[in-house]
Amino acid sequence: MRMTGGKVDFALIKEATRLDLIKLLDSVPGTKAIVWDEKLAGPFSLVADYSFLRAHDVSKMFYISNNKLPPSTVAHIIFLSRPHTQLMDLINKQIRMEEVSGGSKKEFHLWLVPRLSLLCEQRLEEHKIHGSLSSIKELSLLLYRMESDLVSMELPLCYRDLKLDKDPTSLFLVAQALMTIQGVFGLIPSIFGKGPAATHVYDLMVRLRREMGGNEPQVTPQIEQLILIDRSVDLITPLATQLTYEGLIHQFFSINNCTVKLPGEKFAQAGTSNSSPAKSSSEFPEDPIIPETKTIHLSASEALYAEIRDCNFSAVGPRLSRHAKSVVAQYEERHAAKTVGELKQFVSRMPQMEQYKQSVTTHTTIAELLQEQIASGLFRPALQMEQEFLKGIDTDKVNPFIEDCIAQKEPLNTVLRLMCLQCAVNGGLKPRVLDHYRRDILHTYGFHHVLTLENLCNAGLLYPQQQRSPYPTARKTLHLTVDDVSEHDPTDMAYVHSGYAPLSCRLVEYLGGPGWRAITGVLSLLPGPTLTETQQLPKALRHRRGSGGSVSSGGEAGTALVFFIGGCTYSEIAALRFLSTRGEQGGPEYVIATTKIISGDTFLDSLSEQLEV
Amino acid sequence: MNRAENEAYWGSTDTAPSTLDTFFDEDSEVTWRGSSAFYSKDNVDGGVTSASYSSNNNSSSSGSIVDNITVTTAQDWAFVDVGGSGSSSSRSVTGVGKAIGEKLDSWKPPSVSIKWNSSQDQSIPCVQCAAKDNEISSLKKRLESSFSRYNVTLPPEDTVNRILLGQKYFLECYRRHEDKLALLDTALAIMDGSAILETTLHLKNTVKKSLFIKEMQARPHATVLYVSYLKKRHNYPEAIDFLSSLGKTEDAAILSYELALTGKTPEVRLKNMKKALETNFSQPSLAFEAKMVEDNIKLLTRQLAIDEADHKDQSNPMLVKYPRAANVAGMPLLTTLFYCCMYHWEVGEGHVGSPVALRKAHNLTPRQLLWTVVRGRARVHHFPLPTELEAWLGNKGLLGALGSLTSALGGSGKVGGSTIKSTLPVDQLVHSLAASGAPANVLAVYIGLVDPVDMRLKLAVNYKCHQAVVDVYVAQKDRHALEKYMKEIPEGSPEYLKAESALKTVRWKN
Repeated sequence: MRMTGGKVDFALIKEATRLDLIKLLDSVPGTKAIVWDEKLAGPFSLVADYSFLRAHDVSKMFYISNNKLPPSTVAHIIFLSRPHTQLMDLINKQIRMEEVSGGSKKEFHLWLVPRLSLLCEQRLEEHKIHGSLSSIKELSLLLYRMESDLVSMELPLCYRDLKLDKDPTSLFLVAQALMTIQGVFGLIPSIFGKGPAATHVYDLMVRLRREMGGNEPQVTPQIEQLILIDRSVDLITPLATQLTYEGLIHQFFSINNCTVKLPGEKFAQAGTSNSSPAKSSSEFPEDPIIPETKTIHLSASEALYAEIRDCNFSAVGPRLSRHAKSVVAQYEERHAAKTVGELKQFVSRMPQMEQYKQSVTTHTTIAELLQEQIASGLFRPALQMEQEFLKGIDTDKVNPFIEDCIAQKEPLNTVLRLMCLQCAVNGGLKPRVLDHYRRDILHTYGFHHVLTLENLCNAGLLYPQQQRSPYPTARKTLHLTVDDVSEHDPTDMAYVHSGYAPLSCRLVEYLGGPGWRAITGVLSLLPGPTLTETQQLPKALRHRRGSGGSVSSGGEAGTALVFFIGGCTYSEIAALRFLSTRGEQGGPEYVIATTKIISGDTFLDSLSEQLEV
Repeated sequence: MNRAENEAYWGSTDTAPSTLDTFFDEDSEVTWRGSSAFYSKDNVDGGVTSASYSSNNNSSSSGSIVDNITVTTAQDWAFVDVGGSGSSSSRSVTGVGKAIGEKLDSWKPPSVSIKWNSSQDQSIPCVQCAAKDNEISSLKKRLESSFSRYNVTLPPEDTVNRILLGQKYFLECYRRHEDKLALLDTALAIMDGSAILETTLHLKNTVKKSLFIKEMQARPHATVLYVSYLKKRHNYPEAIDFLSSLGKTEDAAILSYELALTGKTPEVRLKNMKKALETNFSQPSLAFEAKMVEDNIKLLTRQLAIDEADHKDQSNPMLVKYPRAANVAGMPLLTTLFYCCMYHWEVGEGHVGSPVALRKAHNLTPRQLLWTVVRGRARVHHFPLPTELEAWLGNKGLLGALGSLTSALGGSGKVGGSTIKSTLPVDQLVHSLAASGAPANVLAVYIGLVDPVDMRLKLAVNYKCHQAVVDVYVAQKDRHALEKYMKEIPEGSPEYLKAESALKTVRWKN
């Protein structure tokens, strides 16, 4: 398995965004305090750290909130915020409180990430605070590097905006992000896509390119293909349970900005007792100093994590135990060291061994936590139900399992997830079935969920059946379900869901394989137009490239960028990485961009209606 | 151009209008929309500068951004609030505590006639501001006249592009109706949210309502975006009004329901829901939704009545024994049924809290009904037998009474054509009952309903329900197994005696 990306490494994107940030920071001379939008501070740590900001005269940092800013002597106060009106209200309050309290004279700045917004400026004008701000600027920080082969735009509401509010702004941002990527890695010659959003993004790219006129970056193209996937093309995959190690961590504990917060007591135990992996549920009283949560940074720079993150969970245990044995073996080597020289060599390796041991311990503990979650509650039965749906069994009736879940008042998201999955697979539910579910849900969880159900309907996740479902055809043609998939030594991407291959990734695979012309039947059944375009390279670069197109050149297929508009799951990431490992068979190496990494729950949360009573 | 220059520029009233034409030069950075910046700026100097705040806790060594952000406490805000209202410096203080919702309700987009007049900032008696306002308004007038004279307009594509790219732009020069529409259509073609909204608002602010509605009718995309804009501004009434005048009654209905649900108290919510149901839900395609809203109203009305009756009732022994945790108003339907089963199991149908009455008011499936009743009763340690439940379920007026009569005669325990067995997954029911501590004899009856037999046996053994185990073995005519199992049963207990007598009477297969 390739540890880091080949030619294309998104670290360059990080560098580019840092430069933008520096430019903006240095445009404000003197000491600065940054007041953070809470949701922005997290992702920002993927771009810069505190020492970096301090080097640019940022001496204080606070949150945008209802509270007065603590006193400080800085000359500038910079509000770094997403363009949301609620945040503008808070900023208004904080500025006014600051003005009332007097103190040294400060200048206020507002930087909106990633774009200025009309709504926000209007709101500021209504508050009559517009004039107190020395500057309002946009910091077009569009892409956050998660891994060398993965960037996210951190736009969790993208799909909702597109489908419910019909606000296409995120498409524009996607197009801009793609321009940024092209600015760094060169123009991408071939563009493919599926779904309405894909076509719109392409149109916007063309427009933006025209806007640049002759000032195109003179970079030799490093990415040969762009594949735009509109989330609405494949609504099944986000609803299915992800069974890779990383996917499970995300579903149970949610990974944010490459870090995960886990219950602390397990780790304290594993840390203190050096013996075999910690036993579950200790009886003796907890140590009072144990922190409640343990924050763990998950990244491919940790070799062990890079190895197991995309494995099916059932393969994680054996791998971990193999590593545990090798830890022991390494320590045993000290007995073999006879001479002083050998001993010295052993000692010099100690720090690495310590690190390795720590890594194995951590992941064993995480695996245990996951195991607990899997064994308890609804996980297994729901998974079983889901797999039957994916195989197309009994999808047209009221499902007793879903009924039971409602009767037991299981978490609403689980019910909705299964119901939407049934709907997606069946190509809509019979009106009678749909009404039955809806009534049951409203009676059990409360009538106000009418709004959420209505949203799901508008988002294309829950609808009455109108025509034959495209799923059976897609399943057959694209081999979406694979019966005898090996979870330990996978030969097919279907291992990521233990038998179901993400539709989106199959489309990508077939594009590399026989080509989309071979599956036009399925493509025409899926929603939205199919996009096949080429971008003419600037003259100066054209002759440097080999003969003609890049896809047809076979052999070395180079790099392809897959962009998910509306979010993608860790299982899809794993599936694409799996395709990359088959690079020697002539497929391209895939790098991935998404508007947000999602799971079934976060996807449904983004679509549900939270009432502000 | 920096502010000083800017101000100098705007301050010099002698500048001839002809220089305004340079505005359309792309390099000129005159802030057209930023004109409000000048009068507000004067208010910043609101106090003596006292720079002697000592810097607080500094320098934590961790590199992460989140770890280094100083988190403030709520007291700071309270402190300022008190200090602020005591002081007499008028303007910024009044703004601080003002509720935003209130402001938004009162906010109206400037109408066509007053558009070029000074801003609506009349409430603040500030000489300097007034002067600036006058200045701005005179400049605006001059600007307007310059447009009418020269009729300068940028092609719509260029303006939309400027919006898209975050550059300065100016919509007021699009004065002809066709121009405004061309602008909007260009924005729609480009699909940029900001541009569409900006041009839509421009249209809305400058044409008659009927015309606006007509044009929006032809542009569904802009409509949705405009509605979500109104929603984000919490201007629901206008959004609903707009949608209904567009003929989108379904969307208007859902929105009116959403608005009703945001009411502060249950009473307000009830009132608004009634209003919404009357005015918006008449469409046949909304039959399902209308029914749900109607049910919601019915339920909330009943819940309020129940709360009224129960909240100080000391005569009901159940209420004394199990004090209410919270009001029932706003709870889901089945939770309410659960509540009624807990506290008002015995009461007659006339009582507000009667579970029977609740059931009749809402069309509940037997499945929902049974689950909730069993759980609700189990909560107060009452475990009705299947026959009791069926009798209760059968209590459906004359027809139901007949049904329960026949079922009593036939002994088949029908519930509106279905038995408990066919309505609920009995094994789960057994788990649920056992978890809430049902006595063995009740469990045995329910376990007796489980099919197939081996599952029944497993459950019985698992919950040590001797009677059920004995029953199974007797039914299977398995003497060896029964004899073996009898060792588990305490001698002399009724189950033991039953097993003993069975050993004597039954014809065994082994």
